[in-house]
Amino acid sequence: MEAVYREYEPLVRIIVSRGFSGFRGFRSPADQDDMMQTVFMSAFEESTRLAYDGISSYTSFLRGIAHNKIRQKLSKDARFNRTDGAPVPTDRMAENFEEVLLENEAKATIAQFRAGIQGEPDKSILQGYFVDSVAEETLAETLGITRYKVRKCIASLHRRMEKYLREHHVLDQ
Amino acid sequence: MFWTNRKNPEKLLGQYLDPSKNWTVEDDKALREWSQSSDEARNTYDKRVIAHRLMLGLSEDAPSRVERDRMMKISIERSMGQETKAVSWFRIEALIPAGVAALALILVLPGVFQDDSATDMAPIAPGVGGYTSPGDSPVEYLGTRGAEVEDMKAAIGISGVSTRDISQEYEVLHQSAFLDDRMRFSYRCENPELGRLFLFGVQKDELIWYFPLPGAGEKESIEINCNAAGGRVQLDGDTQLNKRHQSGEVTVYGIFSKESITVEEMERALDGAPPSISRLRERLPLGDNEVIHEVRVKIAEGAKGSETDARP
Repeated sequence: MEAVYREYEPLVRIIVSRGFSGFRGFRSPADQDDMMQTVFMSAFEESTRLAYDGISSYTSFLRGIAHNKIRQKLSKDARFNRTDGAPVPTDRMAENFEEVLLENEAKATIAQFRAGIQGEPDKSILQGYFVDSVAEETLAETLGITRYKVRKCIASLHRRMEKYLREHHVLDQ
Repeated sequence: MFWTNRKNPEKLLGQYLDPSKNWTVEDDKALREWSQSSDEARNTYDKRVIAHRLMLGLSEDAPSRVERDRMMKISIERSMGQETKAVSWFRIEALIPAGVAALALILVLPGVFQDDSATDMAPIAPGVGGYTSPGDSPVEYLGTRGAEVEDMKAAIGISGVSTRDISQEYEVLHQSAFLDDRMRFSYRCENPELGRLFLFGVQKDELIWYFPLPGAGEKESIEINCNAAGGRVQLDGDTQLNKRHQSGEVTVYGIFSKESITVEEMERALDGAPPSISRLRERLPLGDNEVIHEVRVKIAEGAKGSETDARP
């Protein structure tokens, strides 16, 4: 299941975030993440696994499950059933221009955190562990340090991220 | 305002994004339930995870490794949990009298209610379009060709071509391509700005050029035709696998760019370490709208045909 998840996670992520047919994708990461889990939990149910014939494309099978689950959510959730002409939550438009500018400014500030991580092994671990999903053992071997040191560095980076967010008022002090 | 209208810190969210903290099914259920409970909760969740992703240099829609690992673990555990739900002793006990009564009926009344048609069970009819998902209306079945991903703005497609039946294409992403067959490439691209494609593969640390092919005098990305219709376009020239490939997995990269990339530039970008999307992005002058698509194909031993090919 883990192998299947890793293989098809990008496909399902694209479907939930960018949509299909007339659906433009969930705007909110909360909705996206919730739907990711709903789709994979449904795909991994025993009865669903037995329904797959093993011959046809699994991509199509999984895509069908994803489309179905998304349609169910859209029809059940009142947020997505706006009939008053107001933008539906899937619209990727902010409320007004000023808000867009502030959002972009805040996001740019947050994104600068990464540029501040320059020394090694921090820089390699930030990319390798948090982004590229490299195993701790591999990182330790590549960087010539112990696995314990890698873990300490991961924890330290997480603390620095939290501190950065507090300094920029994203998290409460 | 985007970041500052937050009221209370959510400990669960902090725990969710902290790689040193444990994360259980109960934690996850609580987090998901809360994040779907109100607009305010959803906004808090969104701001926190978006900040986390942006700090790592990811896009807003791309979860970090910590998030991905958590979501995978919980999806698997929860689906397994649904399968292995313990049946309470009360329920089992309650079934015993029913079972005894049924057994008694079978023993006392042999053949009385025998119905020949009961053994002639009809197969369950498939749902409309091919598949059904439990408890759902029939799901649609959308065929795919090769490895193209319909939802991407630009994607490469790969299919196998049998050398026994010359025109027989087959799907290779979910099964193997065969060493004595050929590999056929296609692309689909909706962004008219992306007019160039560079296609290469890596197998066991060996670089395999496809388009451009330096051995054929080609030195830079090939020109492609991207338009809003985004239809599939087949590249001219199959690759016979048994000349440069071997059995095992090959990773194919398709780079859709605005400007041409030369073979020299690509060699420099690939120098020193195995390629990855992040590494290619770091080393090539690519903008945010330019696309790198990675596809893995397994190649199995096979001796089907002996067609020669235009591309070695």
